[in-house]
Amino acid sequence: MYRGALPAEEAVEGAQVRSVRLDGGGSDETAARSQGLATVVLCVVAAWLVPGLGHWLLGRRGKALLYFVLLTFTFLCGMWLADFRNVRTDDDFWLYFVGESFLGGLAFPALWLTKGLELVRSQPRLDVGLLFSTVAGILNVCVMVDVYETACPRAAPAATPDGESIA
Amino acid sequence: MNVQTVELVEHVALYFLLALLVSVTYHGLRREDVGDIVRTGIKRGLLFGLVSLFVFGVGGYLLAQWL
Repeated sequence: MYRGALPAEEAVEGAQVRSVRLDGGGSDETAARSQGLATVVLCVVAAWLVPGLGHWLLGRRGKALLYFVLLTFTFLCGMWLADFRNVRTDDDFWLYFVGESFLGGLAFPALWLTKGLELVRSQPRLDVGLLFSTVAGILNVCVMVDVYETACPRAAPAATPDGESIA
Repeated sequence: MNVQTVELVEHVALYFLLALLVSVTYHGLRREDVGDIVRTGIKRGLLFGLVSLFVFGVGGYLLAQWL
């Protein structure tokens, strides 16, 4: 079901309920709104650290597992294809690392763990591996945006007394 | 199969795999039901892979003949 098809009031109310749960079960609506920003930032950072963790914290367990499996598989598949030599910052690799770094929980440990590996022989699938791991990182940007959109659903455009939309 | 054919098949398979992974992730951004996300993502990813393979494959072949 498209999220856009949900009534805006219902979606916003759902986000506030989730915020209350995440912030320790408080019942005051004002408290939930004031802590909303911290919750959103926490979820987006969690999504950067581990793909799907942001959705998990927001209660979207199915999507969380799906994103975790998809993005982790894509990144690790890229590393395997490139013989674990695709996450590096030397020479021309730094631009690819910018893309990979959006998958922080995987890219930075991989950079540290594989820093001793040299390109001592030709890697026939190095380009393919770079593509896979960089695409995984860039897809995680989309996932982080989805976490933000789930936590802060956009309100419906305001309507005039005649019932027409201003926007 | 010779070496070139094996490499071609391998690259096409990897291309389809990447198209499917991106498609499923992309369609998850606008949906909530996981089953729906996977079904739609695979369906459209396969369609995109086939169409783009045809366009770039046939187009590349014709371009190579012309050049």
